[in-house]
Amino acid sequence: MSAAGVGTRLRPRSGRAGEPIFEVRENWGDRRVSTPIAGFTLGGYQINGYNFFIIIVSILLLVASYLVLRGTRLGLVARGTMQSADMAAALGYSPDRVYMTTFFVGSALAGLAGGVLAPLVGLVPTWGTLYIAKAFITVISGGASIVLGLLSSATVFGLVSQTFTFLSGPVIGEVALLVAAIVLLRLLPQGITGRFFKGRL
Amino acid sequence: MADVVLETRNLTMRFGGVTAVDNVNFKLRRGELRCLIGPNGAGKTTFFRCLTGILKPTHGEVFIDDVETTGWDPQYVARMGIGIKTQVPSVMDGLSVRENIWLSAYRLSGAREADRIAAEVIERLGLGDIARSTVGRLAHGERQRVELGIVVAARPWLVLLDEPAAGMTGEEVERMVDIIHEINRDAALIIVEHDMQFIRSIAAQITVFSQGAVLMEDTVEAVMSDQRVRDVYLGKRG
Amino acid sequence: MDRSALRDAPWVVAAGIIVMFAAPLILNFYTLTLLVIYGMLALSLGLIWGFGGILCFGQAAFYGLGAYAYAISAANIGESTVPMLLAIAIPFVFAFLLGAMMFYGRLTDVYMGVITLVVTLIFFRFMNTTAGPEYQIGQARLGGYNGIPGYQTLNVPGDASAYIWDESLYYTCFVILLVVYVLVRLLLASPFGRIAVAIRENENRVELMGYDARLRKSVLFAIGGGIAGLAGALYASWAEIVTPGLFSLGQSAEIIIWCIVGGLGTLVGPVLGAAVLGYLKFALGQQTAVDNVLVMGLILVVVVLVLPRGVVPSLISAFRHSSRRREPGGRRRRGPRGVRADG
Repeated sequence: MSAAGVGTRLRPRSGRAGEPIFEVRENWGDRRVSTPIAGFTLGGYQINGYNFFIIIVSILLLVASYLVLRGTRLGLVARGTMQSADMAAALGYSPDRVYMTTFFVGSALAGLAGGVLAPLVGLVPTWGTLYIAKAFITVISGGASIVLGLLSSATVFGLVSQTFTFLSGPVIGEVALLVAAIVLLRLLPQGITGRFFKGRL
Repeated sequence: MADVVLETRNLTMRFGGVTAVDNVNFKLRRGELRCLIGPNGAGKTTFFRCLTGILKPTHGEVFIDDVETTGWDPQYVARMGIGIKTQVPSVMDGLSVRENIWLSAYRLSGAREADRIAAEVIERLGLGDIARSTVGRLAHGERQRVELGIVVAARPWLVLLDEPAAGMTGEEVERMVDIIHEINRDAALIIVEHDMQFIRSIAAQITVFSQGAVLMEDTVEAVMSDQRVRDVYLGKRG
Repeated sequence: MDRSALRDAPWVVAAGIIVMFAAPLILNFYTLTLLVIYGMLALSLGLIWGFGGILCFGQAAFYGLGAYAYAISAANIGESTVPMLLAIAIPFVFAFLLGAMMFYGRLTDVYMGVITLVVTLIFFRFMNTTAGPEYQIGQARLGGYNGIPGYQTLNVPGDASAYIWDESLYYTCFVILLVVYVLVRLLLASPFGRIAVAIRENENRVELMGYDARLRKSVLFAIGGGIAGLAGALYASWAEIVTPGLFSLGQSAEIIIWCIVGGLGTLVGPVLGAAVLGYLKFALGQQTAVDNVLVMGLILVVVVLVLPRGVVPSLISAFRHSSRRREPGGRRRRGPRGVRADG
């Protein structure tokens, strides 16, 4: 779903160079621009400013979605429809419209994620597909609670993946993530929030 | 086979802070026909689900035919020769009536015998006209009867029914009473029900549940005339 | 055995034989063989998804496993009969174990989908890293993303020098497809098949009848895996090289699309879906005017919106509808149903 964001990010770049798109694909390695925010040092460490920016954006988005789902009428209706579409319909809300809205918001978020991540990666039109499987696995493993589930599963998988990447390289890191997903779902068939933080958002 | 075919000892089921079934000691004798009644929320369906293995009790034991079955999966409870009908009709919607019943008979009897049993059960339950229909298209009462057919086709010696008459028309309820008496010729039964009319026509031994515990156990007449039972049904608790 | 459920099977087989001889008039054997192999692959998912209610996002795992099992054992053994059997047996066993792991763990629906997806990804990632010389099984080097080339392709059983290729490979694959089809139809008409469908309809009820749904689902899943493995082995023999791309996400997605477009709850539907969409992909690959993925995506969207049950089930009910009008009083038979959202 992040493909939407990728597309918009790509267009100005190929346009600026005045070249047909397929050449972007072939030469993408040369065409990297530096990330828009400068780095800074903290004590003895060099911190990449843009990476820091991504972390801030993610936290803000997570908090914002939590607040919207938790505090607004729209969030309440969306959660209610998720729990019982029939009941929501009986109360006069159109599940179709709710699904449409949540899908719209979800796609917008995915687009934003693509846009934010774009400066860090080599862009090709099919770049979004790399993230489909991981996003799917993370969401499902989280379980029924949207924010808490996502937070917990993303933390677990991120930790596992980065630990193994650090210990023995990116491929093992990725495989470790996948194995972790299998083990996790085998032990918690309803996802993390199917057992822990039950019924919380 | 033992004289007591089903027994619970100190059976307790808690959901969070709510005790739905509280320390129930219950016995069912061979060939007996027993109704469990009580107002909504009295714990009879929870108790029923603990017997069938759909719920695992928090505390206490269930014995079926002197074998402890506490916490068994429903499939293993069923394999002891027990027919179970749950509250919401649970049938295979995409298959025909005959197939539904045939599959139940097949497990113990093999294909040829299952053909015969299915035909016989369909006849007995008056499902002949709709035997080839897809179950998903039938009315609620018909689906209830199909599920009963599934239960009967496995030739159980103990049958557990949760609200078999729910959502049925008057005529269907009458037929259900006959079917239950017929099942009772070969098997013991436990029936969860709150339709008093239905219970009166079954005329069985009755166990009254209230607030998760057994309030009393007696015949229909005794239960009907009991002041405590009336209080419970009218909401004067305690 | 439910004989009435098999009434149309001879007609399907007869039609299949006609198609087998007619198709070479339009297309070359090389392309046709691949389409037949795709058909078999789609059949494997059509069986477990359409009749068992098991949505497997990773049917490509068994397909790739069958292809690799064949390539590795053929490179070591030579004669193709044993590799062929291994290519069915290994995915069968693997699918059984994976299925047992999932079904005994009471994993359902989308969680099951994730597990199968993840397994496919693991194969994909792992096979891509096996470029080094340390990854060698007997005579066969796994070769990483370059894959394994140069093994013995399919031969007449017993005679390693009598290769089955091109025209004869096409007919062999087609006959195998027809045989598999008949076997699966027999399986579905048998009590095992009826119970499998019953599990799809209502797993709780089947367990209350005393059947072990977990074991039965594992076996059905394994049969699907075995058929996918067979398709993989035939693919390996056709392509003469196996690469990790067999395990790719795109491959898994394609199988699902074939089944959805063709129609679940039938066996012919997925096979036709695979053949038609496979051909379309091939034809679109010949030109550069339109992007191939775009067209495929569009077809899927249109079919899901217009014919949510898939092409073949919609055709069948349309046909029944019209024939019922001609003979008044005929009892309406229910068409094959799609898988509900919860199953």
